[in-house]
Amino acid sequence: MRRTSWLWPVLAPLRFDESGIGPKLMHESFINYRNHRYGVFAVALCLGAVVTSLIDSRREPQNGGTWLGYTLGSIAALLICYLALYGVRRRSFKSPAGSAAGWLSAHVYLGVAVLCIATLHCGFQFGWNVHTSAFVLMLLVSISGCWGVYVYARYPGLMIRQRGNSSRETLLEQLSTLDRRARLLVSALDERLQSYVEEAIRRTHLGGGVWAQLRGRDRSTILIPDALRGPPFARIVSNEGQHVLIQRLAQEHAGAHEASFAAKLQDLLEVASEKAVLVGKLQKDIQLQGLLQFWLYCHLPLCFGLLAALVIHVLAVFLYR
Amino acid sequence: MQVHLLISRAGGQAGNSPAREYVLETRQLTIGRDSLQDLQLSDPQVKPQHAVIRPHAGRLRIERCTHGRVRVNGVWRSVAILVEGDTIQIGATTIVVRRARRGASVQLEVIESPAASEAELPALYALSLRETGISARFWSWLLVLGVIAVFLIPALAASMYPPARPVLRSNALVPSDRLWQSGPLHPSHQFIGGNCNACHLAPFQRVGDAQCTACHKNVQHHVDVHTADVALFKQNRCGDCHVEHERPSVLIQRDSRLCTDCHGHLKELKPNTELARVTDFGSDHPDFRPTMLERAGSSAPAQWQAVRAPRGVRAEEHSNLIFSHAEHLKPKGVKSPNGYEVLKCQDCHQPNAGGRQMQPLRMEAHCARCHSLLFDEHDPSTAVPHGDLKRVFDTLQGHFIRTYLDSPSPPDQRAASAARRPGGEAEVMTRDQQRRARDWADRQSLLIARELLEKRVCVECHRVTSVPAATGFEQWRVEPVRITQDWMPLANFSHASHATSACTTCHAKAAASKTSADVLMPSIRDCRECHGGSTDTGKLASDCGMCHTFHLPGRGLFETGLQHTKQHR
Repeated sequence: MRRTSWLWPVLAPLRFDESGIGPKLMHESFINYRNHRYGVFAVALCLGAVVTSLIDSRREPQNGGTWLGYTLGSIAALLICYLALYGVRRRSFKSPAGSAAGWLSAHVYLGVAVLCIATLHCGFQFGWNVHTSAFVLMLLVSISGCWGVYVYARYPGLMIRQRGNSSRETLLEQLSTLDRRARLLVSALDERLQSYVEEAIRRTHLGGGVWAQLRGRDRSTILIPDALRGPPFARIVSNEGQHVLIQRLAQEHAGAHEASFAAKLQDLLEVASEKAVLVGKLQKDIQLQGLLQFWLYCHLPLCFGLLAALVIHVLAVFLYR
Repeated sequence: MQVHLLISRAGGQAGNSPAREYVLETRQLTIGRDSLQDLQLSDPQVKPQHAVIRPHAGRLRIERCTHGRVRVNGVWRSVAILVEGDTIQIGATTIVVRRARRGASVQLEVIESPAASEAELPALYALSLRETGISARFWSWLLVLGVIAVFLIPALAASMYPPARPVLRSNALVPSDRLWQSGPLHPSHQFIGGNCNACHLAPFQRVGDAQCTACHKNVQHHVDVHTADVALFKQNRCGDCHVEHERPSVLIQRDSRLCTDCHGHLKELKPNTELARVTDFGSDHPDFRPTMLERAGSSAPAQWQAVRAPRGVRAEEHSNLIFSHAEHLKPKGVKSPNGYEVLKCQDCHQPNAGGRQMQPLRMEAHCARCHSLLFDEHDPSTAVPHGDLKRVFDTLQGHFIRTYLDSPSPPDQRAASAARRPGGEAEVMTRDQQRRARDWADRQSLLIARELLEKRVCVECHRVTSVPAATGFEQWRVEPVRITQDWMPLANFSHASHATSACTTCHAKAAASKTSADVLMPSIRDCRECHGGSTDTGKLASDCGMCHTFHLPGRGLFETGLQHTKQHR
C-alpha cells in the first residue's frame, strides 16, 4: 500500500503482509485496486447520502417513506443485490464481467457503504418488525464481511509465521516420525512405560468439531493406571501439552540408576517435548485456518437470510401502503 | 458401572501393539474415535462419538450417538439391550459381551482390526472446518426458511385469509402482520389494535380518505366544498399530511412544504385568488390583515359583519365607541372616586377562562367605577341605567314625578294653592293637576337628557346622533357599539402562551393611541422578534401549522369535498 494514499489512516491498521489474499503491499490488492477507485466511490456515495439527509432532516423527520427515504432504500436494495452477485461472479472463473480483484474491491467497499445508506434510509427508527430484522441482518452481514477482510489481512501471514515456514503436511509428517521414534525408544524399556507411551500416542488429539477447532485447545488425553487401586484399574486424564507423559518420564529419569536406561529416558523426554510443541503448533494452525474460513460460514447464511428479509420488507411496505 | 475391557488385535498376532486390559469406573462407557472416549477406536469409519453403553433398568444397553452405525448380532440397531455373548460391530472392530450380569463388572472383549489401528491422525480427526461437515448451504436454507416462516407466512395469512386473523392477531407472541408494522400506531389510534385491515382494505393500495372520514365525520375541508377550488385537492390524501406508523409518532405533519407547495405559487393555481404568496414565515409572509366588525347598513337592530382590513391601507375600527387609550394610560393616572389612579392594562383586559383571548369589555364591570351615570352629582340615587335609552328616559321621568309629588311646595308655583291645603290630608289630584305634574317632569327630564346626551355623560364615550324631524325623547339616537373581540379568528394564537411577555411588548402603540379607530394589533414584525422561519435556528422555528389550521370552519364537510373532487375528475 502506498503511503501517499489518502486512505492510509483508515487502512494502515489492517497491516497487509506478503501472504494469502492480503497481498504484497507494493502490489495491487482489492484494497488499493485501481487507486481505491471503489473506495472513493463508496466514500462519495456515503458523503452524498449523509449531506442530503442532513439537509432534508431539517425540513421533515427522517423516514423510509419520504422521497429521500425511498431513494436511499432503492440504492441500498440495489447495492445489496449487486453485493450478492459477487457470490455468482466468484464461481465463474471465466466471467467477462470485470476482474476478480475489481469485483472483490467493489464488494468490500460498497458492502461498508450499504451500512451507511441503509442506516440513513431507516431514519434511525427501529422496532420489533421485519424491517428492523432486515436491517440487523444487513448489519451482521456487513460486520461478518469486515471480519473476513480483517481475517484475510491478518491470518495467512500469522499462520506461515507460526508454522515456521513449513506446511501442515510437513508438520504432520514430523509428528508421525516422532511417534515412531518414541515407540522405538520405548520398545527397549519395560512394559508399563511402553503402555504409557502407546496410550499417549493413541490418544493424541488434533482439531475435532467446529468449536474444538476454533477454540484451539490441545484436547489430548492419556489412559493411566489408577494410582489408588493399581492395574488393571485405569483412568483417562487430560494430557494437554503431553504433560502427564513428560512428568512420568521425568520421574522415571530421576529414579534411574542405569546410565543407558537414563539416556533412553532422556531421548524419550526430548521426543515427548518436541511432540508437545508440534501438537501445539498444529492445533494453532488448525485454529487459525478455522477462523480464516469460519467468517464465510456466517457471512453466506446471513446474506441469504438478508435477501429473504429484504424481499419481505419491500413486499410488506408496498402491500400495506 | 465397572467396565473390564480386554483389547486385542484381530489375527491373534500381538505385533507391536500387544493385547491390553484395563478396568474403568464410569457411569457409561463412551465409544468413538476421539481421544475423549472411554473406548477409543482408531478407525476412520468410527465416528468421533459413536455409541454409548450404559445400564438401563437393571440391564445393559447400547445406544448409538448421532450418525453412528451399530450392528448387534449382525443387525443394524440404534438401541439394543445387551446380554452375554452378544457381538457388537462398530466399524472394523468387534466387541463381544463377556459378562453383563447385574452387580458384577461388565466385561467386554474388544477385537480391533489390524488395519484400522494404524490409521494416521489426519484420518482420525477433522483438521479443517470442511471436514466437520459444517455447511453454509444448510444454514443458509435454515435462515431463509426461518425468515419466511416468521416474517412472511403468518403475515400473509393474516393479510389474505380472514379466518386466520383471530388466531394470529390475538397473541402478541404469535407472529402475524404486526411484524410488518414499520412503527406503532399513534396513541389516538391505539384502539384499532392489531386489526390492520381496518384501514388497509386491499393489498397494494394506499389507505383511502374514506377510511379516515368513517370516524372523522365532521372534518371540514380547506376550501369551500361547493366551489371548483376542491379540484385543486384531487391529488391529495389525508395520509399525505397525517402519516401513521411513524416513530416518533406525530400524526400531524409539521412540514411547511405541505402548505407552501400551493401557497408559494397560488396565483398559478388560482389566478383570481386574493391570498398573497407565502413561502416562509421568517422571510416571505404578508403582513397581517386583522378582521374587524363593521356595521352592515343602518337597520334597527344593528347588523355587524366581520370584514378583513384591506391590504396596504392603515386599518381603522368603527366601533362607535369614543375611547382614548392614551387618556386612560396617563402616567399621572386618571380621576377616580379614590383620587388619581394609575391604570394598568390588566385593570380592563383580563384573560378569559381558557387564557387564549381577553374577556369582553363591559361598561358595568370595567368603566362604571369611574364613569358614574349620576345626573345629580349630589344624590347617589340618581343614576340612569346603561344600555337602553328608553329606560334612561323612564328613569328620569319617574324621578321627576317623585320629586314633584314629594316636595312640600310644588316646584310648579302656579298650582301651589290648588294642590295642597296646609295641615290637611292628602287629596286626590285632579286630572289637571296630574297633567301639570307630568308636564313639569317631562320638561325637567328633557333638560337633563339633553345635558346627558349632548354635554356630559353619554357623549363622553358614545356617538350620539340626532334623528331628523323628531322631537322630545325621540330626537336622540346612541349609535350601537360593538368592539371587535377576535382580530384573527382563524389563527391559533393564545395569549396564555405569551403570558411571559408584557402587554406592551406587542401592543406598544396603546399608550399613544388617542382614538378608538386605532387598531392596536401587533404587526408581523413584532412576531418576528421571536418567531423565525421554519428552518430558523436563531429564533423559534415556526412552521405554518403553528398559527394556521388546514381544516377551516364553515368550508363544508371533507366528505362532500371528496365527492366534488370525484366529479371534477
